[in-house]
Amino acid sequence: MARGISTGLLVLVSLVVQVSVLNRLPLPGGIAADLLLVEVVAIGLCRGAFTGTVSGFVIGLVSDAAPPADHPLGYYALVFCVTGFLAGRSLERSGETSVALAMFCVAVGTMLFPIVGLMLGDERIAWGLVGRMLPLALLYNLLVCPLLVWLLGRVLGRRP
Amino acid sequence: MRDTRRSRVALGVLLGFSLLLLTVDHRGGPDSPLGPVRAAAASFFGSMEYAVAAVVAPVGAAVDVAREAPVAKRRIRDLEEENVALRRMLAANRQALVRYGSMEKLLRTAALGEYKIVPGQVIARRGQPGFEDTVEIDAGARDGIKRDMTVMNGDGLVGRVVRVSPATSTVVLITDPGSAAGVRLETSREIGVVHGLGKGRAVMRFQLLDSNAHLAPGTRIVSFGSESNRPYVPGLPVGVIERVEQTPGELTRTAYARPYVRFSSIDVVGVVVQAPPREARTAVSPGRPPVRPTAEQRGR
Repeated sequence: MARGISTGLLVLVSLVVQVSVLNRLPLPGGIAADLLLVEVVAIGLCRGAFTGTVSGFVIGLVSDAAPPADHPLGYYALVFCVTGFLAGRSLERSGETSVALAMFCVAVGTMLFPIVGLMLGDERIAWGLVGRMLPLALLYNLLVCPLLVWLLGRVLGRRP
Repeated sequence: MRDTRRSRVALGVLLGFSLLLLTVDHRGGPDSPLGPVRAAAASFFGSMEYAVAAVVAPVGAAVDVAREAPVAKRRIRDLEEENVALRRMLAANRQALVRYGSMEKLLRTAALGEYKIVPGQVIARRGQPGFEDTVEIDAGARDGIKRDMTVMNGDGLVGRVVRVSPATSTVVLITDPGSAAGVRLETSREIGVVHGLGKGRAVMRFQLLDSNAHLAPGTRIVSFGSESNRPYVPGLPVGVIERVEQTPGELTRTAYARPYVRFSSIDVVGVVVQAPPREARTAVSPGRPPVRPTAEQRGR
């Protein structure tokens, strides 16, 4: 229970840090790492598919609702939900958490965003933009991945 | 296995739910029934984001600064170079202004006495305290300067030229211990001599040749003039009597005079290459002597 609360707090703080600090940093390329995506992956990798799916959905929904947002409610929820399920399933398949696994899930989650967006018919997602942004987004997300997975592993405690 | 089914069911349900949300929200557009959810989240996260933004604004600025650092560094270097150049220019201008002032003064003084001068600038000064007091000026033989010409500036007599090279010349100041210049008291026209006391001494020794003449502090002394205006032209201000020594029984009277020229900051000087033209004087003769027959003539 206490672990759940601390995880929730950590996610809330990450969300605020993400929109208030990280996204405003003038980093090269104009984008930043997606902390929440990595955290969803970490949760899934620590707690399995069910928890990963549900937390992914909840975190995504919260992220959808938090300003500033100009996408339909449920976009992030869908992506995070699938990502959390994927992470949890890969844990159940492989039997143990590894950074390589986390990176794989993060990469898939990162690529899920434009795919879902295209499916939803979001006209902002153009191929050129995706081609330019996706590698950088992948890079940033993979950079923060080990740190966040380790941090959430400490908070949640591993359960094989 | 049950766990996997449970998670699959959860995934399916939640996926469906998100798709439902997406559809509802997308169809609803601005009048979406999910509006209140958004509004609540906006007020909650909005205030949090507001607070955090206020705290981290300096961090963003710092990162901005760090990112701009290479450009800023180059800019700073450029600006520093420009600054140095401008400061140098400013100093040069200020110096030029000062020199212009002294030059103007020098020309005015020279014009008053109708001296024809070659301007020069002090480029070096001999600084052995107590010994010789000479300066090097940047005008030489090429400029028409010859040995033993008078050197003056806007304030008065400076010294005389002792050595001339093509481009520079050496000037012995009147404060040099070995220098002696003939002078007059401005009002009484009494004749005297000033001796320098060396660099670092603000006064010169003045000897009045007539020990009975009146001599009081505040009397101005001017140059007396030498034969054919060398080394000193007449009429240049030299200094003012500051203190009279009581020397009863001596042949001359001694006083101390403060020069008009500020030798500590001497810069622009003029070398008098031609003294004031004198009015042409015809030889005055007392008339032809009466012709007397000489002895030889008488003897013839």
